[in-house]
Amino acid sequence: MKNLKLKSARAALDLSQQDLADKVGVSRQTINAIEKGDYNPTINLCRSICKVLGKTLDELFWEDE
Amino acid sequence: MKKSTVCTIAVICMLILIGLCAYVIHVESEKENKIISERITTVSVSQGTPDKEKSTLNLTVEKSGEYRAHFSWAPEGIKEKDFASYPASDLGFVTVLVLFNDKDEEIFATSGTVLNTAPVVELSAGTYRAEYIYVTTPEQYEKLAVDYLCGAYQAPLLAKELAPTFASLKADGTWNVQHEFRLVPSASYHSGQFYGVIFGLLIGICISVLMLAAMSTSKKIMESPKYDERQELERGRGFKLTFYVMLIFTGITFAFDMGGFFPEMDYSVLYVIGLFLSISVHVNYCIWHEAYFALNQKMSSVMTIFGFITLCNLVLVIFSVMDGSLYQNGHFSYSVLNLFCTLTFLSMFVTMLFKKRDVAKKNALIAEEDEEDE
Repeated sequence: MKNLKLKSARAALDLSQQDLADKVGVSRQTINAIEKGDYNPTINLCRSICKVLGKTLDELFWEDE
Repeated sequence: MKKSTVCTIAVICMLILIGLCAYVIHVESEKENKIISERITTVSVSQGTPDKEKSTLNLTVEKSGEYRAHFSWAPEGIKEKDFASYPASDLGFVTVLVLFNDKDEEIFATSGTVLNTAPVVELSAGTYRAEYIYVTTPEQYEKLAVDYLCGAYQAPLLAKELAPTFASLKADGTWNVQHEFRLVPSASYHSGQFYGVIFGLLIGICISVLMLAAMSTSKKIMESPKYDERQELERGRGFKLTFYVMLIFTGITFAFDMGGFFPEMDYSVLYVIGLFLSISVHVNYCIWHEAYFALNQKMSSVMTIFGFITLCNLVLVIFSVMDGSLYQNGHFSYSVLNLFCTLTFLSMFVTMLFKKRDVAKKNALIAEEDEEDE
């Protein structure tokens, strides 16, 4: 399932995938895979992304029913 | 200490060591006390059978000791170093060589087609007689091998292997055969091996010093490649896949080995091919899943290196095909490893090319999506 919340949060801050990847310390492909729903990140990476985007884990990674 | 100083010292040490080793090997080779006996015999062949059963060579050993014997026989004009480029059928019959002492006692016997190296033998000073017995049928070969005991274990195998071509090993006609029998003191072999090992060790040490010098002055080299968690996961999957590939390949090879198949290639070559296959699977998997290059590592520099390795090996393959050393006497030689090295690196290079195109497409798509979102 695509993670549109992450994509929109990133776009809101005018960050490209590469920018976010550099800030988090992963590859651009990994951010792309997370947004496309191809890869489930670990809790550590989720926290790093949340910190960079100024969101909570629930806001970015909690699936709505 | 500066990098350039360390490198200069290492290079000077290496040059001194190479010179020293070359000098020692040169002196040692001069000391080698080879005892060589050779002659040329005329043999007439009619319907695949030579007109004489054997040829004899006499030689004298002046000093008792351990010797390693080499013998060869081939049409006149063909040098030992050229044997590899001639098919066995052009060189002559299967030959059994027996060495007798002056009391007509058999010292050892061995067999082969054109060239053979016998085990180390203890010889006392005196005169010896080497007999080259020409063999034209598998039955004759087996009988001789049993008569002379030594080499008997080879007989059924060699006879079976050569049986279909035994009669056609040499075309009819009259031709000159050059026999050579060479005894080399065993000690010079041991010292040669010893200096070879020392030489290799010293070169290894020098290369290590050079690498350490480069590493100690470059932070970039000291840093281990950094992969993110997705890449680590994909690399793990790649290793798992490679493990299964290697397991299956080794299992199949072992089964063939036990069953006596694959006669056209040494098993040592086959196992190295397995290594190339495994490396190829792992690297291609990782490249395709974007887990081969560490963070911020450039693909283009690796592509250049891989392309260069592919080209170098390709040149070696072309040379070995041209001089016929790739496939000799119905067997693939070790040169076939260059071919597999070429294929391995070529596959990686091609995968990188496709991946580069794929990444460019994806990037364009992402850029479009980002623009739409804005």
